Amino acid sequence: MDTRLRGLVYGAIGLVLGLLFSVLVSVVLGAFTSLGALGFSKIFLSSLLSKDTWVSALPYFVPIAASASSLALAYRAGFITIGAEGQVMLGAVAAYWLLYYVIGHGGVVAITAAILVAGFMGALYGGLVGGLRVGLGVNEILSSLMLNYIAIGIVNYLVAGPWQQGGYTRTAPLPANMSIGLSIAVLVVVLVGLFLELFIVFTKYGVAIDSVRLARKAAQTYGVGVASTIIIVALLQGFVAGIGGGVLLLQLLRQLRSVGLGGWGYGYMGILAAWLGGLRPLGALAASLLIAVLYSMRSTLQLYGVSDSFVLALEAIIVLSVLAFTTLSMRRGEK
Amino acid sequence: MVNIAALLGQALPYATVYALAAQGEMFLERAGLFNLGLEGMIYLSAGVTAIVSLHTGSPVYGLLAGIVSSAILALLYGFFVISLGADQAVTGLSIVFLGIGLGDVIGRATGGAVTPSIGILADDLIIVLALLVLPVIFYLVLFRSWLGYVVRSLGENVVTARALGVPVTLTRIVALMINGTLVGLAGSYLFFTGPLGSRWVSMSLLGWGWMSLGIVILGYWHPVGVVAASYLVGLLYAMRPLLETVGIPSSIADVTPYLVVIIALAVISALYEKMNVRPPTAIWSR
Repeated sequence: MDTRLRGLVYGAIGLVLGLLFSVLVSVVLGAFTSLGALGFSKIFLSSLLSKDTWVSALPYFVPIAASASSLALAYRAGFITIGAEGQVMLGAVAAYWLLYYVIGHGGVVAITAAILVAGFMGALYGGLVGGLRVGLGVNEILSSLMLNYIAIGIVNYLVAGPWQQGGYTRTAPLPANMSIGLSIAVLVVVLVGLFLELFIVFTKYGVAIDSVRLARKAAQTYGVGVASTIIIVALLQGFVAGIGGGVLLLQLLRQLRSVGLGGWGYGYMGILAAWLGGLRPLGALAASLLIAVLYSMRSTLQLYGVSDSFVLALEAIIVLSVLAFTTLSMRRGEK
Repeated sequence: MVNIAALLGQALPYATVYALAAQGEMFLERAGLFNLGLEGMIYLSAGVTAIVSLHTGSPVYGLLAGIVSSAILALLYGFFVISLGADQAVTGLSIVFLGIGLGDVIGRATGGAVTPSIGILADDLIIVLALLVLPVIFYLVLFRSWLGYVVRSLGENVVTARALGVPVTLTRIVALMINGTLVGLAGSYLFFTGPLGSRWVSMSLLGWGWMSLGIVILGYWHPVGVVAASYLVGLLYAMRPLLETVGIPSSIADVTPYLVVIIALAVISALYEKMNVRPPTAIWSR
């Protein structure tokens, strides 16, 4: 078999086995909830198969997918940033600033500008992580994480200070004409993901990105600039995650509120989706839908007395199961 | 006037949490593995400590159960990374989610009841252990004994180490157990003496594991450096209320530790590179 096809087949086998295994583990864990294993499985399944769950998942899909597809690109280059969370947040902040405080009216041009400015803000934040690594040798995992917390601080400062509206720590909601519909929001993110996929498959940067991680010496020998590749990846990653934040604001949030230390969580869920999607932007989009659906199920589960954090554990179990089985399967495929 | 002595004392509990978790991670990274799951392990340990000490009425059982839960996550990590050969980053990150998810489900089962706490004596003992005893032990083991050569060789070149007869898997499993134990102790201690004061509040013990990972780098993989960095960050934490009194908004004061750490990382990484001091090769190269 052609090695690429072989990898794909064995990867797919691992994916299916992993998903099945994660269902098994989830049912076992469900036994520890107040519902018992059977009750949990029933509610889980009916919720999973309900159309409402999928529709209500789409608004979450937007920021998760933007984060995941952009992180897939970064991880391909061995650039392990976890900064999508902060980029999504600051993207939303930038979009709000431009629309509400600078432009002051809606319309296609204004909204496009807001989404772009969100992307630029994300790119700035992502570029900072890349620049710190390339210029000063700062570990990107840590710097991106610290920047996430700083983003939380910025949002909390704005909603309790200069942008506060009324008695609560939140901004004024955007007027109705400064928003976009769900279908457009999803479309934007899917198109961006598609763009990233094409970027990897059809441009020379795709090769450069993979070689920086997999064969750095060879890359340098053949004239691939490691530093410049990482900077490009960092900027692009941040740009896409920032767009996710802008679209999230325009479609779902409409206003900014104070945030806890856990952040919004979309950027973190994007990390899981990026790996689950096999570090391919399109795969990451599909995985993001799954993660978003699980996320939207938390309110149903909560109704039955299962803590919403349980969903977080389920997401991790899916990723770990798929990771285990794809690793095993790929190893077998290489023999 | 600021009471400096009081402030220096207030930093101790925070520094202890960081020092425990960061030294556990430092030892593991010296052995050539990096466990990004600290955040989840601390959180799970805190949740398990809460429920067990509530139901048994004994904070000691709670503490032990917390340590065991964290060690189980460390073993899970070992199974994935050592047995399956899975990617370390994705395994560690998944453990973060797993630990936070499970820890929160478990912690919430306490219903926010106040649990019995460890006494002042145990509190002081753990502080002394974390900030004085452990760094000395780690220093002696890592840099003054043949065992240290064995461990550090795994962080430098595992192929050569294996060829020279170093029991790679065994050493790494031991390192993982030390990692799980210390991180678990950090989580339990955090639950008892941290901002919650022996009462579970959902999603409020976040950020400690991540910061500990940063402290390993800030201390540049050296026991003394790691403890010094832990104390520094603990001090920054303790200073937050002080910053608010001089007119800095609380939202900004809350993130000062993170801001200072990122600046410190930038300065210190470049400085160490100039001095030709470098991290374990297996862990981090630019």
